[in-house]
Amino acid sequence: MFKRIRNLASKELVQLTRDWLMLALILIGPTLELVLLARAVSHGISHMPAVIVDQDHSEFSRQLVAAIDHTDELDVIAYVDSPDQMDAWLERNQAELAVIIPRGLEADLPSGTAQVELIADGTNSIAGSTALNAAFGAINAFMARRAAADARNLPTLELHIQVRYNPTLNVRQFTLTSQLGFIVYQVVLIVAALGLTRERELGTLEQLLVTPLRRLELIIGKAVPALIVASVDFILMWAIIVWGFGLPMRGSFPLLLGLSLLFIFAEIGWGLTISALSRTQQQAVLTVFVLALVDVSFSGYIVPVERMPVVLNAVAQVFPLQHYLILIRSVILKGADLPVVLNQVLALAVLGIGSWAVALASLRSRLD
Amino acid sequence: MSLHRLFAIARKEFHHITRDVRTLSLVTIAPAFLLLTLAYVFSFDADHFKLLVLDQDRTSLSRQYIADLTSDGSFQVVAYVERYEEIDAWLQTGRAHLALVIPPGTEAALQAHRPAPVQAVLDGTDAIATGQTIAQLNARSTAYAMKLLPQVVGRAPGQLDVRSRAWYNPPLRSLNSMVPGLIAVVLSMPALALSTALTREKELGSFEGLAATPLRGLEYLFGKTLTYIGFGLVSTVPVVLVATLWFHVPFRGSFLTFLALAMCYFLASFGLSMLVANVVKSQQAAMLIMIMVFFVPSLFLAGLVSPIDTSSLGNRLTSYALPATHFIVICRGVLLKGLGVAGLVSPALTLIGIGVGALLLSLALFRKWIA
Repeated sequence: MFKRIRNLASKELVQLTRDWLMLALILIGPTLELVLLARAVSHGISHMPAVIVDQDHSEFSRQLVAAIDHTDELDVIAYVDSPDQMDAWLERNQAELAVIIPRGLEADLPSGTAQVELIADGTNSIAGSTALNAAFGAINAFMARRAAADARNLPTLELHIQVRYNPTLNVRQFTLTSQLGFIVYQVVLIVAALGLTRERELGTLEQLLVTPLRRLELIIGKAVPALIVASVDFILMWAIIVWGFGLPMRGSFPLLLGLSLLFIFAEIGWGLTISALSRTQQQAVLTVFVLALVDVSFSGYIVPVERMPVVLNAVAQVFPLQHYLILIRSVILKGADLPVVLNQVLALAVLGIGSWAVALASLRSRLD
Repeated sequence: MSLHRLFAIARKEFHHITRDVRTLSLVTIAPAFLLLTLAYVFSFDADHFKLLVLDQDRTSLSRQYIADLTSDGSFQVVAYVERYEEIDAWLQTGRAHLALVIPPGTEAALQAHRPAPVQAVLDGTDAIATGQTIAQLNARSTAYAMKLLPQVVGRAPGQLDVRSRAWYNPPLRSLNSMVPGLIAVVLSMPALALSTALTREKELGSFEGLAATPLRGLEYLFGKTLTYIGFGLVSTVPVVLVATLWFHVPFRGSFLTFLALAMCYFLASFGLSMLVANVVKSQQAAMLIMIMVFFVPSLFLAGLVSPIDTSSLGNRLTSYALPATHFIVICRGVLLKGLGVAGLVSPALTLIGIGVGALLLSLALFRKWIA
């Protein structure tokens, strides 16, 4: 059995290395993706454009605007004279927030009838709510400072915020670790899902089937290029994010490598299943796309998992990617070792065995 | 150029797709199905924060503070702990999003007109959620501090009433933002299908047969594209139906406007498909480039979840180079803002520009390639 697997595996490797463009892409593609994402998502939501309608032109209104501009989240980019002019800014996506300061604001302060209006662009709900919260907080803090300015101290609640595990609140660390996992995932699927389908489409699968090759051996042989390519890409991407982007590596690399191999094993099963069930590569490609989008969304890569409705959260447990991302983050960012991540390891092992079983069964039913 | 040959190719492609049920459904209804699944995941109204409280002050003021924070349901106390060390366990397992530590002597400090520090501890691994938590906590705490001032300082501050509204999406419902954005994402499937269709001919060798015919490059590329444009437009219908009827997202603009602008998007994304197909030799390679270089970056850089990063020229160019960025603006513009073509000229022209540029480049690179 092992001889046949070895022969099949070496055939696969020869075919893989023959297509130099593909090989280059397998190394360049993920690198490009990593760089694109890492460069762009380097800070949270900040510098959102705000436009001011200041009809008061008083010392107070100027200070109020300065307080808003002083926040990280908002940048005052323009002043307009009337609310009508403000409409165009919001409509054309040129401002996220508009602040309307009516005439006579400063004069109205003592009588308690002073009013300021904030209008946010709601088309992006996260940006809109962040803008409103930031402005609201800035105004309140400003008013509090102003009121207490006469008193000797600032008798108020001072909120000190301590952020654990990611002190600089660097979105990039979160994204880079997620990206590492996601790239490995993509590479595995792309190589594994198209492997069998390609042979079927080109007609060479028939020839493989008349050999003494057993189904399990065929699958194992087809898994080899995916395993090798994904491992190489994993190591390459890990090196780039640790040495190129300066991501702290607090855990042990051998553990990380071992866990990654486990994930690759689990995911290859799914790739092979798709491959076995698709008649053309086009079908396989589109299926992988759909699966990848669903998987990515469920995995907590873009949207944190706890925020999802409970039902979806439960479904998300079936996808290996989610467990792998938790594993990566725990080992790299929090320096976790095996006992801590045991849950995820077991989940991956179970899912892996399950997916290979499904792949084997699919091949059995679709050998045409 | 012969229209006859162009339509012959288009017809052939049409038959290729329709004779296989799975391919047909992947090209027509899969985008709608994808939207259905994804939208649920993306409807993450992050407005419920699980709060862990370590109240070492235990005064009426500290209790009032907690009561105020939890009054509108945005913060929910999951437990009171006695010791500081217990906080880690709750945060690490995700049973609490943040812990509020009120040190002893808080009320006394305020009554003595001294500042009273209060500590909030958060798990920073998920930076985006943490940022929102901090923003919300800050806003609420400063509001409470404002209320405190009259009691403590002895006179009311110059009162300022702050009213706020969100246009186009008053309840700031995340589905209303995400669904239009996701429409742009799922409608990139036709481009993926086209790139594989183009490379497939090369890979299977059937291109040789075509190369021997009088077929010209322009006719071949346009012929295939025409069919996929058709299927792309067809697929927009179930997508929009899912968005409006299932998710109740408003559709304030006109559907015809949407179709016209979707055409611009198809032009741009198909142009890129053609460019990729001209360069690679296998479907696997085409898929790798399309997914890794265009689609995945589109999920993050196109302004779907967080607004696009305009802080540096490089980042801005990268985002603007992706067709999805502009189509997300278009989708949100048509569905939420009710804009017509006039209001969306800028993204539309950009898409057309990308498309035409990619198209011209593809034509220049096109060779009757034989293995």
